[in-house]
Amino acid sequence: MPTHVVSFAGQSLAIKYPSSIAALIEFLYQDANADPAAIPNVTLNIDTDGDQLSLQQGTQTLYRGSDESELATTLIQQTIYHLIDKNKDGMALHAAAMSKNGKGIILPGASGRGKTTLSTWLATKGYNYLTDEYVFIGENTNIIQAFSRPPNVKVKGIDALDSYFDINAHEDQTIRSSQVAMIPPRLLNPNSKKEEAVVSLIVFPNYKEGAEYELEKLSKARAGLTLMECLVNARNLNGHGFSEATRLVRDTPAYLLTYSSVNQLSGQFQEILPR
Amino acid sequence: MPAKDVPIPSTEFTLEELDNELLLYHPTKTTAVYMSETASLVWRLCDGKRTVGEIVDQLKEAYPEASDQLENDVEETLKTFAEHGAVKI
Repeated sequence: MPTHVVSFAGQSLAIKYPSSIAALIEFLYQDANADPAAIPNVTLNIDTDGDQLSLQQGTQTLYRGSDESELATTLIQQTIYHLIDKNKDGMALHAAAMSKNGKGIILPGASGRGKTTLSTWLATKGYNYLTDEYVFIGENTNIIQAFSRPPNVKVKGIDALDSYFDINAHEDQTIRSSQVAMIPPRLLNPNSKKEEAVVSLIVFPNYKEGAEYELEKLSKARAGLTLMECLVNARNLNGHGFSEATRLVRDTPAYLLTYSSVNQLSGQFQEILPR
Repeated sequence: MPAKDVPIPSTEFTLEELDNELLLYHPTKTTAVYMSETASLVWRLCDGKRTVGEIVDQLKEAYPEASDQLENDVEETLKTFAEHGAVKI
């Protein structure tokens, strides 16, 4: 049975899968780091029995059913959880990340704040898509390590794509589950590439239905406070990552972006983006 | 808040000064407290010896143009600190 190893921020996870779903594994992890020499912390097993698929960790069943897209959603969620859960070598942030010419933008925020909408829109504007979900920044560095997965657009927010990406025209190239639609990043930007990028801008997306556009420059203290709220492995870090979070905001301009539609993101917002 | 009260700053917070503002973090409670520039000035004057009245007087001396509102601002700021456990009064 083939094994795919996914690595992120010094942690590794192995996925054993039947050849019949090799295309799905390729779809999900083609941009994720793979270190075949790494010793995985966890192994997830995918099995098939007729049209039934199952995802297991040891004796624990994480998914059983016949829907490949639901399996994909659970698999990605479990992958992220295991790669971040024990990480203590730097900040794991709930954040999207984009880049251009080695300059990185991180978009930290809780679910529903518009990280994926903003990152997919930026991809269509020529920015490299790095991730829409998790960023790792090692201790004493400003280098973005991104957990790269296809952008997961929530089904309830899929209409937000209409003005910049016709998802229906690419139905055969995307995966849709009951929760999300997964889009290969290069459908959004054919030239998108993984590159090493240094954090040069922090934008906290603040999507609100019906909201007026507002771009507010944050003081370093307010940026630090907001960044702490997006730190997912604080419990593993010295001093809960407080000094690392404040170190990052000392060096980096930060903004709070309130928006309800990407159509609002014209001149002023685009001027702060790295070129 | 009586002017003779003495705010005692907690020593349990980790403090980071960012430009003229402060961010305080309590590692046990895992809470962060943001302090604006004004609140940071008040915090710096809370040395466990100065009374509330002395803090107000010192700020009035430094910012005479704002003296009308300083008493109220200092009181509100100290209340916020106390709510977060950053000072005991």
